[in-house]
Amino acid sequence: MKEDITNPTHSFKDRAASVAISKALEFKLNAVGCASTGNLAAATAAHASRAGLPCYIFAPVGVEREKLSHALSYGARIVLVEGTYDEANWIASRFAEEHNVGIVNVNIRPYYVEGSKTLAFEICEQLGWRSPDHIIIPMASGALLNAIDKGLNELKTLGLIDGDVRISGVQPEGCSPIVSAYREGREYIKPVRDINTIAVSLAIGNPGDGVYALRTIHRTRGTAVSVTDQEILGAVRDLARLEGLFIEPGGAVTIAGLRKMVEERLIEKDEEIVCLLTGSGLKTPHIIQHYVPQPFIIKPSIGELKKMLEVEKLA
Amino acid sequence: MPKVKLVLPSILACSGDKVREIEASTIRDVVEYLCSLRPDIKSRIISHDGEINTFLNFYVNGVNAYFIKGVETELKDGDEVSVIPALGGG
Repeated sequence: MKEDITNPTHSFKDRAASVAISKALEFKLNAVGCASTGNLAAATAAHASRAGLPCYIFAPVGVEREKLSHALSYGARIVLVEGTYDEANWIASRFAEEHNVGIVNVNIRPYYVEGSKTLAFEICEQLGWRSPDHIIIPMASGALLNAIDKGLNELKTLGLIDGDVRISGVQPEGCSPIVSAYREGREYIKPVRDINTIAVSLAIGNPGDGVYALRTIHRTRGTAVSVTDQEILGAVRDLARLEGLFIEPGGAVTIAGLRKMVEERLIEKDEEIVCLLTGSGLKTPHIIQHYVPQPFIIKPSIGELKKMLEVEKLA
Repeated sequence: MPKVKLVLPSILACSGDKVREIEASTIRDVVEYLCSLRPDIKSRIISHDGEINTFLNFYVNGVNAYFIKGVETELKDGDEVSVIPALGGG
């Protein structure tokens, strides 16, 4: 597991935002911003605050409130669009066109991807400068999957790694336009508008890099699967209880996907697999209620504690 | 033909105006206009089956034409059509 939750804003998006905002400073832009499903908002806002640039966030109204508070705390201005991520993106694109503003996932996007690809560098570095057999990646727009592929190819070109890496993607069933295209053997993406998933950070109905992600998956002999909300919650729970890792649903999809790939015999027994865990569970604290028991409440008395322990059969 | 306001991203406007008025009764007319503007990237604009390629989104008064009637989406006088490259990374 490659957990990437110890960055400044606790998701992999810090990698993308730090490079993009450094370039915004270099280009002498007046302000920065992004369209976000949540995690990019906090990352962009934090790095903008460090850079001393005003920050404008465009997000769909359904975005998780904890993530908004996180971005707000850095002083960002947030515009909530009554619609989907794609509609928030449309507004952000128009905003970028009309003002001298660097929207990290729009007009300074090429640099954003350069940041994301460092995850591939780090995976190989941590394996002792070699590549794994297979990397499983969460997909929303498909940008991260392609960035990982780019990073691996660069290391290969430089002769720092050899061997081929299978690259696979996972989407939540309630928003899986890339997986649908893969399953149906299509080379193009049919955007979806009716989105329903607990993995809100992956809720992009019209994935901008979807076609490229499909090509990368095919080229590397990877695969693409979708997982249900129940399967995602199971993965969140298992990561916490078996590994001590508190991961948000959008990151835990890779573990749910891995389980599915094993069941469907899509991977070999001897494959060395890396699953990306791209965001902290602290970003989505509301979802734990779905799988944890309620805490015990007792009076400050040993008698009550004993009673509780008897109920738990711990006495 | 109805006169519509077309808003282009810099990459398609080249050095011309980003906002321009054109005559178009459907999105297909807008697409043809774009293809005449940039014949070099026609295959990026239209997919092999004649539909709008999802690399590009055509928003009619803020609604993605893909979810209306695709290239057959009808336009009327004064409509605003903005062309937005598909983006991601949330």
